[in-house]
Amino acid sequence: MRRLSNANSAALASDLFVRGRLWTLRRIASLVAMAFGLAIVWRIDGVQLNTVFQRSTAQALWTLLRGLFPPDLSLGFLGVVFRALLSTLATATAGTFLSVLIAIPLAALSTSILWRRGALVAADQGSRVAILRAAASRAVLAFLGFLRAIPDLVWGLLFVTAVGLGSLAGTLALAVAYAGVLGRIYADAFADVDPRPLEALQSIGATRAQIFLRGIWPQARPTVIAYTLYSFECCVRAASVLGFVGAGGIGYEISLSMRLFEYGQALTLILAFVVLLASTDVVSRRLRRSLQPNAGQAEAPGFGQENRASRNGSIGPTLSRAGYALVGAIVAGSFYFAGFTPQHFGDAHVLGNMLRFWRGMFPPDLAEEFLLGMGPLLLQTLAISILGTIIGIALGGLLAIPATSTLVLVERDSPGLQSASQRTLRWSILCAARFALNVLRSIPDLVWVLLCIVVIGIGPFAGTLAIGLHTAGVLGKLYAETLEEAPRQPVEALRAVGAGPFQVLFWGLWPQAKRMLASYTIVRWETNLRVSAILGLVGGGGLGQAVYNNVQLGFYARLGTLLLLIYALVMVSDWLGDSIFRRSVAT
Amino acid sequence: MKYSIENVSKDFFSGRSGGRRALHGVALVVPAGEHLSVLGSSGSGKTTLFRLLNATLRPTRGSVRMDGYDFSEMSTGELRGARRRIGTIYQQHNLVPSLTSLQNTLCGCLGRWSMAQTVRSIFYPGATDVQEAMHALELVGLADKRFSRADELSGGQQQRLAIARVLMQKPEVILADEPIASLDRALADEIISLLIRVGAQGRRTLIVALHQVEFALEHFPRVIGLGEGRMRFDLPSNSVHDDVLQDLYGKHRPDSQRVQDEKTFQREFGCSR
Repeated sequence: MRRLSNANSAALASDLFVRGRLWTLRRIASLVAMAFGLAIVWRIDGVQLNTVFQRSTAQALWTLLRGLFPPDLSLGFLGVVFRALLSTLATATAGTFLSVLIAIPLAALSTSILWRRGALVAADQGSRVAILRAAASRAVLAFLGFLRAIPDLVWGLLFVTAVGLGSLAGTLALAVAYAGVLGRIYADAFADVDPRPLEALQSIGATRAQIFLRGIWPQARPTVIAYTLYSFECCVRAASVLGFVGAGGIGYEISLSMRLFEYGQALTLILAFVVLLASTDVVSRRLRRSLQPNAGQAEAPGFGQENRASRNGSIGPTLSRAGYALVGAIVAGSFYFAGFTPQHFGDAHVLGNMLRFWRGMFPPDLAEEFLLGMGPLLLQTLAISILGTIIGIALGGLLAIPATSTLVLVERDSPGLQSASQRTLRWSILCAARFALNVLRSIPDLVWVLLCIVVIGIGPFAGTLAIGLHTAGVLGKLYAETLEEAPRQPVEALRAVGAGPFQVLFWGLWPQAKRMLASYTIVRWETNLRVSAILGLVGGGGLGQAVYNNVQLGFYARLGTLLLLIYALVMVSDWLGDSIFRRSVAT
Repeated sequence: MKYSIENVSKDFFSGRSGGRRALHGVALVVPAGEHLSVLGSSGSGKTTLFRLLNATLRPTRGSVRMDGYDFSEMSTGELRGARRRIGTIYQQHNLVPSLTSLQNTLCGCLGRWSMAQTVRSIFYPGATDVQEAMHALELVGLADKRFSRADELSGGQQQRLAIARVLMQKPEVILADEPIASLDRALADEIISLLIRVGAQGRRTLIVALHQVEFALEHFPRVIGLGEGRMRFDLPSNSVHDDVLQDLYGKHRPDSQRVQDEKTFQREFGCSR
């Protein structure tokens, strides 16, 4: 076999980057473009790095930290916290209930199979009626998409303006925003059912309503219930934050405490909030898991010989009469606590205000000067989301490495000496990193905005930092989990070569996990774009700022335009995220 | 480098089902530069023995010593130094699937690279390293596949790539767990003689687990047999007879051996059995 000469191998090293697709022209070009883009983003965002290193910033940070500790645990304040938690839960429950009520009929309307003429399963393609009917179901889906694309916080602001401060506005906002989310999910669930039983029902002579109730609904029910529970979890999260725009609940108390510089109270509220989220998470996960085994069975199509009682049991959870009564009482109580009292709602002003407000938004203001004025804010929103995500990637990645047990801990069965102190040190590094990630993640981005504003002042930079901190927590946890789940065998081989933890990371874990890491990051960026559109509501810059100003000034026509802009932004980000995602998976 | 294994046992504990003993009191001394073959059917403890020998597994009892130093008494850094001197070819190849052949071969250098070199090499490996890696790839006949990802290679090619990685590591001991399991006869011959040539070059210790008895007897002066986690025999290859093998494999002797028997029978009696 031929030995390579030295000159040959130098050529080979450069060959490696061409053929090995490491240093191609395209790659260089994209790097340059990225650097250029980053510079623009940096400029638009209005990052003032020098403010970070000013003395006043350090002082503000010190004041904040000193104010946060100790948290206010006086009995009187704990009562306030308890009432706020109760109203948050009530808002979430009532909001979820209403959103289900809105979503189910809309989803049924969007089920194209129910719109077909003649045979349900064999499509009557081509005819004009068929096209019209397809368009009808598309239109319902687009409406649901619109409800979903407007962030819940913006809905909150709109309803606060329409019906006044308090939980009532929050409940209505949740009802509308999550009707969009659930409607879409229900529509998918209804569309995914096995069509054969429907055909059978039709041949018996069932009407469309009967086919829906007896054919589609029983099949889709487990999915519907599981996602409704999941949506309830999201609603609790959202209900807590809605208070930032005055829609009641614990968020209202947090923003009040922050405004009054009562940081000790704010910390208590934040802790209560984290506990609330963690416990709903646990309860909802347990409920969903108890439904899981049933969900699998219910997917089996066909009408067997089993009696009805056992079929009901296999389709989903069955509640006793007492159970139904309990759920009913909880929902009724929630509506009461959420402000749906007769004297409040019976007041004709509420409905009249709402109507006047909604009418004010049509037609949207499309004046050129206003639209041009929005351009910079739109770019700023984009810049905040990009820069925030980059901060999140950097900080999250940095924290993910010590939070990965594969890298930090010595494998359980490895030979070699390890003193107790060394083992403790490794464990404490792991625990500290995971704790930091959990703190970053469980404090919502809007609370981070309030905290950042205290330290570096109102503006887009505070919003960027806030998104960065929250994203670091979310991505860091995902990164660490992904790295831990990378296949072990190649890693073992590298260890047997004598590789240390960083070598295992760069040559063993990174190549195996990078695709997953990239997809998680893209998904997170999409979410961040939505968030950056509303940061302005609490002083974090971007489009939200304009939304807030125009609501305060009563320019409802402009508000209509802004809603359309946000809708467009979210649609574009969805499309962009999907196409980047598909490309990164393809190559 | 000299191995001495003293009375080693290894138990695996798995949640509900309790423990499983993979090795029972195995003792073995391998002088530096010796070529040794390990025979045994699947589940006889060969892989466990290899993981003990390459210092990635801690024995439940007994000790594994390298030049007199016990792996269990080494610090994390010393252990890494020891692993650098031992090259392993895994039965499942254990390549990093998304890296190219060239990059996988370069992984053999990890033990001697500094942190800075490790990071730099992902983007721009040194010319000498690349030259060495290319040489290793040429030796195993994969030079033209240098830019193919490891998961795009066939089983046999992955096997050869795993060997290239070990060649790159330049260890003092080569442990090979069934290195010719996924190769055809001609290639198997070539790979075994390659391993033996490489072993002879630097007076390297070579320990190879094999399924094919005839390969073991033909190429290795010393053969040990493992059965159900115990050492069944430790003999020079010219005194490994049929009865010993019968004892090792029981009635289920490997197919290749049965073919070999058939061949002998036909040659002697001129007809089939």
